[in-house]
Amino acid sequence: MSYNSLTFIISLPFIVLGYYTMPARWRNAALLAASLALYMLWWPAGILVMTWVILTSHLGIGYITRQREHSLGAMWLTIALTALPMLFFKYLQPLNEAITSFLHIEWWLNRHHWYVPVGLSFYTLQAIALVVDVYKERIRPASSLVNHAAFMSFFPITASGPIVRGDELLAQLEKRERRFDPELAWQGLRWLIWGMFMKVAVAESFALFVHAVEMRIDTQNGFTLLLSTLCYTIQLYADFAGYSLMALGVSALLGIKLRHNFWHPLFAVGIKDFWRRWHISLSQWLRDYIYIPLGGNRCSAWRSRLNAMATFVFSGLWHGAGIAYLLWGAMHGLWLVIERLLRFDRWPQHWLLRLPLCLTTFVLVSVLFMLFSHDVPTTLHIIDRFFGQWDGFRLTVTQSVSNLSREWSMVALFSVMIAKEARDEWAPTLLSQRTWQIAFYSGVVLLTLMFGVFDRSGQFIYMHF
Amino acid sequence: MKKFIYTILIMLALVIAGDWGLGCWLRYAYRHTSHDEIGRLNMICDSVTADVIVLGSSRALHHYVPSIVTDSTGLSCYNCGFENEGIVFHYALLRMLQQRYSPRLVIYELTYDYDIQFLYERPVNLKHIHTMADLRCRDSILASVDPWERVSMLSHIYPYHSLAFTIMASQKPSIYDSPQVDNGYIPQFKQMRHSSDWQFQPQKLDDRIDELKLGYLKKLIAENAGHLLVAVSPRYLSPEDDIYGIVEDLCREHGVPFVCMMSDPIISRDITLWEDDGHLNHTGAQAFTRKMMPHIKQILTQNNKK
Repeated sequence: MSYNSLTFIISLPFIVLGYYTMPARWRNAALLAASLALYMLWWPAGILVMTWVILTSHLGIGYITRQREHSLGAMWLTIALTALPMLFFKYLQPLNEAITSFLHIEWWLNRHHWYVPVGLSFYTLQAIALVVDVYKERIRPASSLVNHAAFMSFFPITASGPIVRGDELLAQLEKRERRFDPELAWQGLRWLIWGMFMKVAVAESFALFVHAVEMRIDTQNGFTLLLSTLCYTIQLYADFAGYSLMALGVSALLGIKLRHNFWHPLFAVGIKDFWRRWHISLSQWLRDYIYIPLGGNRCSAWRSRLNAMATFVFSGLWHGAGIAYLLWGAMHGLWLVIERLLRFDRWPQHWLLRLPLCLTTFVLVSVLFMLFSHDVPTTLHIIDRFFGQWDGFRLTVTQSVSNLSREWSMVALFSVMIAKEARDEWAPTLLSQRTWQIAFYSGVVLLTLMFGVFDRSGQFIYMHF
Repeated sequence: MKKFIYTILIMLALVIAGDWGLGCWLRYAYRHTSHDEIGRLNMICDSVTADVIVLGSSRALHHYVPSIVTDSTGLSCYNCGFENEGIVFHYALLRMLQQRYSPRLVIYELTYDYDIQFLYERPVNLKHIHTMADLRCRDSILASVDPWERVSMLSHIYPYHSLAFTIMASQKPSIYDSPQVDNGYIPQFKQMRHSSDWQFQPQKLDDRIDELKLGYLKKLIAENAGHLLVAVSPRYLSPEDDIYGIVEDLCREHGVPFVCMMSDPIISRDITLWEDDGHLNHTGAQAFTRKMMPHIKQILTQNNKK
C-alpha cells in the first residue's frame, strides 16, 4: 500500500489512535504486526525475504554479542547471509542475462523472471549497519526479537527508506514510554502534507511531461529533450523527497523522530554539497560503512580519491545492476575527485558565483540521472540530439491546450515548491507562527487537491531500487 | 494537546470551506466553457442529437467524416471521438447520451491499447468522467475502477483536479472551433514523411488484458446490440494481426458487426493518406469513411427491416 493512496490516508488516524490507546508494552508488537500486514499488501511472498533478513541479522547479532573475542568472522558471515537475498534478487538475474546473451545460451534461469521485493535494498543496508554497529559496540542490540523485527520492518520506511540506524530508531523503539507529543505530531502532519504535495502534485505533473517526451524521443528537438532531462530530476527529487517526508511525518505521528533524508538538493553547489543534501541517509551509510573502512581521508591523497571512486561505484551498483548504474556511480566519483583537485571547497562563497555554479550542478546532475531512466546508448543518443537537433527554444511536445496547461501547472507548482525551500534554507523563521502555518498548510492541501494527478499508478520511483 | 486539537479543527474547517468555494467555482467555470475539449464535451452532453454517432479515441476523432455519412445515408452524424480516451469514458458518454435520446447507430472505433490491453503506466483515464456531474451512472463507473472514488468524490475540487489551467486556457477558440471542423470531426492536413534510412516499427501490442476495460467493452456490445458497429480503422503498414480475435468472438456472440480494416491493402500502404503512423490525414479519412459506408448502410438497412 502506497502512502499517497486514499486507503493509507484513511487508515492512518486509526493506526495512530490504536497505537496510543494500547498499553505501552504491546506497542512494538503492534507496530510489527501492522508493518508486516502493510508490507504483505505490496507482495505477500516478499515477507519471506524480509523474515530471512530479520532472522539472520538477529541471530548473527546474538552470536556476535555472546562471542565477543572471536566475532569478526561471525560479523562477516552475518553480513553475507543478510545480504544474500539482495545479491540474489538484484544481481543474479541481470548477471545471468548478460552472460547468456554473450554466450548465446538458453537455460532454465532465462525462463524465470522475479520481482525484487519492495524495499529490499533499504532494509538490507539497515540490517548491515546494525550488525556492524553492534560489533563495534557503538550501540546495544535490540532487547528482544520483537523489537529487532519492529526496527527492521518499521512500516513508514520499509518501501524506500530513509536508511535508519540503530541509534536513531532502535533506541527510540526500546524506550517503553512513548507519549503523544503534540508538537512533534503537528510537525509530522506538516511533513505529511508537504510530502503529499511534492509527490502527488509536483512529481506526478512533471512525470506527465517527461513521459510525453520519452514516448517519442526521435521527434523532439534538443531543447525539449534538455528540458525533459531537467524535469526528470525535479520529478525524481519531488517523488523521493516527498516519500521521505511522508515517512518522517508518519513516524512523528507515532512519536518517533527521524532525521531528514533530503535538504534542498536543488540549491547544491558542487557534487560534494549535492550528496550532503540528496538521499542523506544513503550518503552517510556509504561514508560510514564503505568510505571510512577503506581508509577515508586518513591516507594519501590518491588513495583517498580512489576510496571516493570506489564508494560511488558501490553506490551506483546499489541502485541497480547494469553498466548504466555503474557508469552513473563512476561519473559521480570522478566529479568529486575533480572537485577535490580544484580545491572547490575553498572557492569564494559569494552568491554571484554560487548561482551559476548551482545551475551548473543541477544541469550536470540531471544529465547523469538520465542513466537512471535510459540505457547508455539511448543516453548518448539523447545527448547527441541536445547539440545536433537544438532547433531553438521551442517545445516539440504536442501543443494542444491541455498540454500547455500541463506545462503551466508544472511552472506554478515548481514555483511554490522552490519558494518554500528557499524560505526553509535562508529564512526559516519567516512566517513561522502557528497561524501562518495553519493557513499555509491548508492552502497546500487545497493545491494538492486542485493540481494533484490522481489517475496515474502513483508508485514511488525509488521503490524500484 | 488542546492546542493540537484546535489546530486540526481550524485546518479542517479551512480545507472544507476552501474545497467547497473552489469546487463550486471550478464547476461553474467548467460548465460554462465553450471552447476546446471541455467546451466540446459540454456541447456533446447538452445538445448532440445525431442519428449516427462515432465514439472512440483520437483515431475515431480524425478518421470518420460525418458529412460523408450524411451524404450517403441522409442521416445526421456527429463524431464524439476524444483524444486519449478509451472504453470506460465512451461507455459513460453513451450512457449519458442515451438518457436524452437513442441514436440509430453507434460506431465504436476500437483501439486495442485503450480498450483491451493492460497498461501499468497508463491506467483508465477518469479525468472527464469525474466531471460528468449530470450522469447518473457516473458513481458506479468510478467505483468499479476504484472503490475509494466514492469517498474522493465527496470533495468539490477533486472532480476537476488538474483541470484549473485547462479551464482557464479553454476560454479562447482553439482547433476544435476551426471552420474546417465537421460535426466533431477534426481534419488533419499534414502528410507523413520519413527519411531514407527509416525502418518500419510495428506498434507494440501485447496480450495482457485489462479485465476492467474488457468488462466495459462487453457491456457496450451486449447493451447496444442491434444498433452498434465495432470497427478498427487502418494503421500505417500494419501487418495482419489476430490480436482482435477476442473482440470478434464477442461481437459474433451478440450479433454485432465487427469490421477490421487495420491492414487494409490500399489505405494502410499509401503514405500520402497518413498524418503519422497511427492517424490518417483528411484525404485518408475521406477514403476510409467511404470504404466504411457499405458496412454502415448494411446495418442501417437491417435495422429498418426490423
